[in-house]
Amino acid sequence: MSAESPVGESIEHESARLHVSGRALYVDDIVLPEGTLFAAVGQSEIARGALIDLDLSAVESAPGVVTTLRFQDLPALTDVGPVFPGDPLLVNREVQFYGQALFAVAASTEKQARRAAQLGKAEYLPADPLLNIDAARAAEARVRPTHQLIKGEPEAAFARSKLQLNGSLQMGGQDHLYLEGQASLAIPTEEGGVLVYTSSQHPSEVQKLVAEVLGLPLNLICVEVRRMGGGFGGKETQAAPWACLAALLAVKTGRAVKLRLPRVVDMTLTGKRHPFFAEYQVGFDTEGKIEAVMAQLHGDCGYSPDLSDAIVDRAMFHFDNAYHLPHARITGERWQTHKVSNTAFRGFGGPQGMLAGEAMMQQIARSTGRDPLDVRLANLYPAQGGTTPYHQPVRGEQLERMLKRMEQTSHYRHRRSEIDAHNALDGRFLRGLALTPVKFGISFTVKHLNQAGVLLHIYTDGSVLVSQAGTEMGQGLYTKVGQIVAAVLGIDIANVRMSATRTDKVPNTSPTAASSGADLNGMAARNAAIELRSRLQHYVAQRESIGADQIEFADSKVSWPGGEQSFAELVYGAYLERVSLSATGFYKTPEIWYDRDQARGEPFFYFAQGVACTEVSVDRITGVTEVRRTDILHDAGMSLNPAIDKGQIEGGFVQGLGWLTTEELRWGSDGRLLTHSPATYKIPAVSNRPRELSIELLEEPNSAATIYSSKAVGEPPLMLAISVWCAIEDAIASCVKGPVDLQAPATPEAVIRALGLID
Amino acid sequence: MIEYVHRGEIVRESDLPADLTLLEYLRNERRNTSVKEGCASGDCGACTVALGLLGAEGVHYHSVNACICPAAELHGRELVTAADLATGTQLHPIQKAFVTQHASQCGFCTPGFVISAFVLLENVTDPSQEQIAQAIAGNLCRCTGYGPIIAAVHTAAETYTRDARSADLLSEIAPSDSGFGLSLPTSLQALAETIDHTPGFTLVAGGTDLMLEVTQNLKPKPQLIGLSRIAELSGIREEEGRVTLGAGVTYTQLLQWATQRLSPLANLLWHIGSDQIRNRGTLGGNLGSASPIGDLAPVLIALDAEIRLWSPAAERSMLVRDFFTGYRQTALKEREIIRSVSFRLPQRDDIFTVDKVSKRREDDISTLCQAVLAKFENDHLVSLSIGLGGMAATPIQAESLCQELLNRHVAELSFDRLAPLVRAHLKPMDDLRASAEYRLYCCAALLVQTLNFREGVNVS
Repeated sequence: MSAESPVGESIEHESARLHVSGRALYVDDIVLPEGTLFAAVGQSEIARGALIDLDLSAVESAPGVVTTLRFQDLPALTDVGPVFPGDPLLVNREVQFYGQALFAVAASTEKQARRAAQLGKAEYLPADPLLNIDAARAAEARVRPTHQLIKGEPEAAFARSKLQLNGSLQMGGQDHLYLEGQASLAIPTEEGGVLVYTSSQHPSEVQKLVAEVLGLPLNLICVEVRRMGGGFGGKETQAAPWACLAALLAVKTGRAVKLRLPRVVDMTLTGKRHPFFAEYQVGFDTEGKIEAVMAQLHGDCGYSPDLSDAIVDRAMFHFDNAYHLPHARITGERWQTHKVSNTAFRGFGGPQGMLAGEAMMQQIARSTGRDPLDVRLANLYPAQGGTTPYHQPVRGEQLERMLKRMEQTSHYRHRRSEIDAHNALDGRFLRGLALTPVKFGISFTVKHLNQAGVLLHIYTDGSVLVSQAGTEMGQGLYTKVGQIVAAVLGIDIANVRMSATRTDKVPNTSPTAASSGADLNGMAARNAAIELRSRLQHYVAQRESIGADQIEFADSKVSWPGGEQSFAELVYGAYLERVSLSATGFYKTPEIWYDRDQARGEPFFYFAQGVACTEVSVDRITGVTEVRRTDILHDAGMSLNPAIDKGQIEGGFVQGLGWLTTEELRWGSDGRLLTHSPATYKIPAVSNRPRELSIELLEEPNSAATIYSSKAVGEPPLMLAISVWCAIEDAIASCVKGPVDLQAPATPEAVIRALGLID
Repeated sequence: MIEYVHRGEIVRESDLPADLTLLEYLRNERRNTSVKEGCASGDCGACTVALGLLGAEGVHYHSVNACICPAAELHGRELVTAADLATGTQLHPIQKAFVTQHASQCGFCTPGFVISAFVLLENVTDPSQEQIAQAIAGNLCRCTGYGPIIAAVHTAAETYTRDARSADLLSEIAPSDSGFGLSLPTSLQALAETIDHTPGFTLVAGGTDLMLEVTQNLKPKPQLIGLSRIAELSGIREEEGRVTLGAGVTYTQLLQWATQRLSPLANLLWHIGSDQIRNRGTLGGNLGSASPIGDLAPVLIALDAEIRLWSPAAERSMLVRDFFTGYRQTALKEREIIRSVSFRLPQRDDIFTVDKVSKRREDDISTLCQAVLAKFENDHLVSLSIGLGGMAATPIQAESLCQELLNRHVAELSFDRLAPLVRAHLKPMDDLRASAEYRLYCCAALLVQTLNFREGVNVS
C-alpha cells in the first residue's frame, strides 16, 4: 500500500456534502412520475381475533381514492415471512396484533389516502391476546422450537459449587426510530414488471418478495436503494411488505405508487428489538469464578417467526460474553405474543444475551463482596484453551489486555474509592461505576448469507463506478468500499463514484446486516479491483514488453521502470486495445460452520471487542440518572476509516444507552402500542450523551484474514452501553442490601423501585 | 395573500389552505426536499427551518418545526432552509464544518441540525458547550451520538460571521389581516371583526398542540385565526411587584424574562419542548389547550395567578386554578380568548421551587410537574401553595394537602410524615409515563426537599 492510500484515512462520508445541503435524495424525495398515486394502510383495532367482515365501501367512495387492495385481491403469494411463513401481507381471517394491516388504499394525494384508510369498517370476533412472555409461557405459545447449547455437565458441576445463586432480568424492547420512516415507490415497467425504490437493508429480498406476490420471475423486478435515513436492522425484513403493497397497487393501476408510513403507523406496524426475560442459576467459588451456569433466555417474538430463530440464537451465543463458562446449559425460547413481530435490531439478540450475562456478573460481585471488575477479570476467557458454550475456541488475551489498560487509563480503582466515599455521605445523588467488556461474534449465523458481490466499471476517462451488494444506511459502507477500490487501483477517491445498490447490477445479495457490510463487500470490491488492475497490468506489460510485477499503480498513475502514464490515459489506451474494463468481484467468508442439531460449531469468523468504563449519578428523589463520564477502548482491527469507525462507536453506544435508560415501550391491556411516536417514546437527545466521552481505537490487526486486517464495527459498540446499566446497578447497590432488582431500561421509575423506595 | 422573503426575493402565495403545514408546503408545493418529515409532531427537528423577523437590530432568526407550523405563518418572515445556505456547490461555513467533523451519518436529520446551528450562530457569538447543547436539544439524531455535531458547531463558531441579509425586503412587506384560510389579525379590534366574519373558526396561538390534530388525526381545520400578531397580547410588564404576561408571549420570550427575574421558572422553561417549540408555543396556547400535562399551569397555580379573558363584548378575570374545568376543558366561553396572566412575584423570604420529572430531560412530557410557593416564620410553615401537573386530569392546586401542612413546624415535615399525607390527598393515575406509586413518591420526596432544604431560589 502506498503512503497515499486512502485506506485507513478519515475520509469524509461520500454523501456528506449532499447531507448537509439537503441535496441527498431519500425515497420520499424522488421526483415522481406523472400521475403517481399515494397509498396508505388500514389497520386492525384488536390485537387478536377473527376478521369476520371488512367493508371498504366508505374507503372506496372517499375523495381521491382510485383503488383498494385486500387479502382476496392478492394474485399470488400472500405470506411475506422472510425465513419461515407467518407474515400475511394483509389479514385474511386471523388478526394477530393491534394495528395489523387489513387493507391498502391508493389515492391521488397522500392525505386522501391516509384519510380514506381510516374509513374501513371491520367486524371481528375478538379473542384474548397474549401480551407478554408470562402469558405466552402459560399458553406454551412458541413461534419456533426451543434450542439449547450444552457444554460439559452443568447440573452436576452446579451441584458441586460452593456458592450458588439464582437471578433474573427483565429487558425491554427498542424501537429503531430511524429518522426516515419506511418508504417505497413502485413504478410499473414493461411485461408487468416493476421498478421499486425502497429504503431497505435487503434489496434482494424485496425483489424476491415483490416478484412472488406478483407471481413473476425475479428478472422482471428491479429494486434500487441509494441510501436509507437510518436502518439499524429495522429495514432488514420490515421494508418488504410496503414495497410489495406499492408494487401490487402499481401493477393494478398501471401508475406509480408511493407508500410511506407516517411515524405512528411505522411504529405500530413494524417490528422492534425483542423484549427478553432471562433466568439463570450459577455456581461459583468464593472469588466469584464461575463453575457452572444454567440460563434460560426467553425472547418475546411477537406474532410470527420473522428472524427470531437467529435472533434468539445470537442471544444464546452471547450470554457468555467475555467469560469462560466451564459448564453451561443455555436454553433459548421463542415465545409468541400478539404484538408486532419483533425483528433485527443492531446486535440482533446479542445485547440481550450479553446484558443477562453482565447482570449475572454484577450479582456475583454483590454476593461475594468483590468489586465487579475483579469478578470479571477472574472469569475472562483464558489466553489459550477456552471454548464457548457452542464449542468455538476463544483466546482471551487481547480482551484482558484491553480491560487492564482501561482499568489504568480510566483510573478505575482511584475513582472507585472516591465514589465509595461520596456514597457514604448518604446525599441526594448516588454515584456508580462499571467497567465492562464486549466480545461480539462476527458473521451471519446463517452460513449462506456470508457472501457478497461487486460490479466494477472503469470508463474511458478513468472514472470508476462501483456497484455492490451492500446498502448505505449512514454507516459509511459506500465510503469504505470506495476507499478500498481507490487503494487497489492507486487512484484518487474523488474518481470513484458509488452507484446506488440495485438488484440488476449485483444479484442475489445478502442483507446489509450482522456488521458484515464492509467485511464482505470490501473483500468483493477488492477482488474486482484486483481483477481489473491485473488486466491493465497485463496490457502495459505486453505493450512495454516488461514483467507485470514491475508495474505499479499509485498516485493516479501507472509507472514502470523507464516510464509512467496517467491512469486515465492508461485506461483509454486499454480500451482501444479492447481490454474489458468491467469486472465482478465475489467473496465468501471462509471456515465458518454451525451444526444446529449438535449445537456445535464455529459460527463466527472472529470476534470484535471493546471495553467501556462508565460513571453515573443517580437522583434518589426522582430516579433520574446522568452519565457523568464514559471512556471507550474499541477494537476495530486496523480501521479502514477511523472517523467513520469512531462515529459508529459513539452512535452505537448512545443508541445502547437509550435502550437501557430512556427508551421504554408500553402497551395497553388491549395490545395497543401506547408509546408510538417520539412524543412518548424517548430516544437519547443531546443531553443524554455522557458529559465526558472519550473514544480510542485499539488499532491492532485482526488475526483473521479480513479486508486490510480491519474488524466489523456496526453492532458491537451498542453493547458498550451495558456499562451504563451496570454503573446504575452499582450506584443502587451502594445503598441496598442484597441483590439489586433493576430492570432494563433503568427508567427513573425502575431506579426508584430498585432502590426499594416504592413497591 | 401572504408574502415572505426567500433567497433574496419576495414570494407571494394567494391560496394556501389554512391547515397546510409549512412542511407540506415546502416539500410538495416548492419541491424543497431538504426539509424532512421525521415525525410530523414537532418531536424530532428533522423539518427545522429558520424564520427571520425584522426587529430593531435588523433581521432576527429563530427556528421552528415546519411540520406543525401553518404555512401562512410565513407572512412577513424570511425563510431559510438548509438548501438555501449553500451557494451552488459552495457550502456554507456551518455545512463545511459538519462535513469536516463527520457530523452526518445517514444524513436525514442533518439539514435540521444545520439550521439549528445557523440560528444559534446568528444569535450568539462564541457559544458555550451548554448553549450549543440547548440549540440542538430539539433535533434528534439516531446515528452519531451527537458528539461530532457538537464539534461541528464549535468549529463553525470559531470563524463565523453573521449572515442576515433580507432586512430591506422584509420592510417592504405590510402586515396583512386576512385573505384566506388563516387570518392573522394584528389588534384585538381586528380580531373582533375577524371572528364575526369567520364561521366555524379555530384559534391558533402557536399551534404546537393544535396542529397535531391536523398532522396526526388528519382533522381538517379550514378556518384558523392566528393570534401571533395581535399587539395587545404581546409583552411582559412589571408593576409594583406584580407581573403581567401577555397571552401571546412565547416560551422563548418568557424564558428571557424569567432568566432575569424568576430563575425556577427559567429552569422549567429550559425543559419544556425545544427551541423550535418554545419559539412557537405561547402562554395563552398552553393554558387554552388545557392539556393535563401543560407545564405552565402548575407554576401559575402555585403563584396564585389571575387569568384575564377577553371577548369582543367584555373582559373578566379569574384565578388560574379555577380556569380548568375538566379534561381539556376550560372556563373559556365562545368568542372568548385569554388576554393575559398576572401574579405577584415571590418575595425575598418566599421559597419558590419548580420541579419537572420526565424520562428524558429535554423535550419530554412531564411525568410530574410540581411548583411550590411557601413561607416559613419561626420555622413554621405560614403559607403554602402547591401547583401540580401530571397528577390529575387537569393541572391542580393541592389545596387540601396545603391546608393540612399549614402552620406545621419544620420538624413535622419529614418524608415519613409527608408521604402518607400526599398519598391521602392526591390520586394520580397510572399511565404510559409512570405509575401512580412513582408519582406519589416523587411528589412527596420533592416536597420534602423544598420544605426542608429550603432550596427555593429567591427573586433577584
